[in-house]
Amino acid sequence: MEKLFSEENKIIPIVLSAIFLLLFMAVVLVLFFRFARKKIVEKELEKSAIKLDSQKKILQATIETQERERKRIAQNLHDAISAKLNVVSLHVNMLLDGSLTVNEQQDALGNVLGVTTTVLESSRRIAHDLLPPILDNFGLVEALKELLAEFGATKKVVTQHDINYLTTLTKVEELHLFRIVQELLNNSIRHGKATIMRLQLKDTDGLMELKYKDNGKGFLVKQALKESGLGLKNIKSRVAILNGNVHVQSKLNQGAIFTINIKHNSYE
Amino acid sequence: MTLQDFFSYSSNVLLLLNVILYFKGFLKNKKALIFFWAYLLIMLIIEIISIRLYLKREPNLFLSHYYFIAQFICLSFFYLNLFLKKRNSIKYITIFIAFSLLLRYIIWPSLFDKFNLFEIVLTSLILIIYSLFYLFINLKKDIEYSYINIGVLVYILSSMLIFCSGNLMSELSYDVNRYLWTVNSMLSVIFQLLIFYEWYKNLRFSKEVLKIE
Repeated sequence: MEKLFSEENKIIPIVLSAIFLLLFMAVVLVLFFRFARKKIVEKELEKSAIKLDSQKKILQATIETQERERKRIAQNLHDAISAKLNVVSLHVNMLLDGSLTVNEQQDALGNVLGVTTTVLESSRRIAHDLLPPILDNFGLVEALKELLAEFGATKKVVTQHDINYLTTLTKVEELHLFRIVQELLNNSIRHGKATIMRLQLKDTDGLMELKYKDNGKGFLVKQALKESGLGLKNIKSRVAILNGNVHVQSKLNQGAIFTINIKHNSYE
Repeated sequence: MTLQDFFSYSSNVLLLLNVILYFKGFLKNKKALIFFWAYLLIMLIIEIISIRLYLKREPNLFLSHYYFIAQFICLSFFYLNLFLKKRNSIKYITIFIAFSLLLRYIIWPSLFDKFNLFEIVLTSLILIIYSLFYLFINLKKDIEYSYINIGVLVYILSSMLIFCSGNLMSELSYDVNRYLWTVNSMLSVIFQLLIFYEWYKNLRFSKEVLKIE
């Protein structure tokens, strides 16, 4: 009897410890999953915070751009149209007075005509700046060519182009691309003091590559991207909208090269 | 009152309480909860019968087979409704396993008087796998009935070994046996507490009431 009991006693601790081992394992498993879940949730939160932050930045840039644009339009309207119309109104008042000689009347009318012509020209130009009609009427290629020609017409800079475009983007996307080129040209002249600008557009099966090169002062890419001003931010967000990526290559005093790649479905 | 009595009484009381509380879920017509409620109810019935047999000094071991098969069917369908809704094949396999286990006893009735290791391990392991998968899903999103799931994992995993050693233990003296069943009752109390906690945390109020708050 004693022997049997001692044997029993040997088995019991083994079974009991095995049971507790299993219990322990189950608890550890549950805890492990809990902690892993916590970690994963934290990571996801971090990710979404970063995403939100960049979205906020883009939104901010958009609003800033919009405000700047409004200011520019207001300025243009004020300078080019309101001031000139004042002159017209003044002359008309004088004419209404009726105390002028025929010669003076002729002069005043001539003035009015001249001013109206310039106002017409200005309003046309402002409208053109806001949305180039050529883009709507003749497409991206002609619009880009005209844009480059306009810059080249100042004789201070030389523009070159090699445009091969198969009409695969929507009108809205074309406008984005046009604005990007506009911004690049403006940057080259304003910040880079460039004299030669070259635009290359390649459009092959499913991939569009826009290469822009100038001979301006150049800049430090890392720094520029970090503290990117409105212009560069604008370009970045537009490229993002186009589902593309932008690659900048530049050194001080060696000009800059912008390469923008956009993937698209060419036969849609 | 011995320690074992204490644990087994409290586990039975908790079981009864949970059956009553989860009846509400049954009324709400949530499929998974219906199966879980059926599980609790069957456990309660088996418990009552086994206590009656015990008091009459009659063998009640054969109930273990009903226990394992019922547990297997109810909890399998509980999990099937939670995360494997479209897997009809698993449903058929579950039913097939349950029937084939029952068939054994029809053919060899003498097996009824012993613990069936194959039955215990097969049904428990399948349930543990479901439970682990469900826990794994919890990594990505919130799941319903997570405390029940933890309870199933903890209780079934550790009690599996107790029942497996049951045949061996029943040959030993009652005193030695008692330790084992005390541990089992203790685990059962933990399980029932987790089930109760699930109700307390997530099922006490219906979702509509929470929204108004």
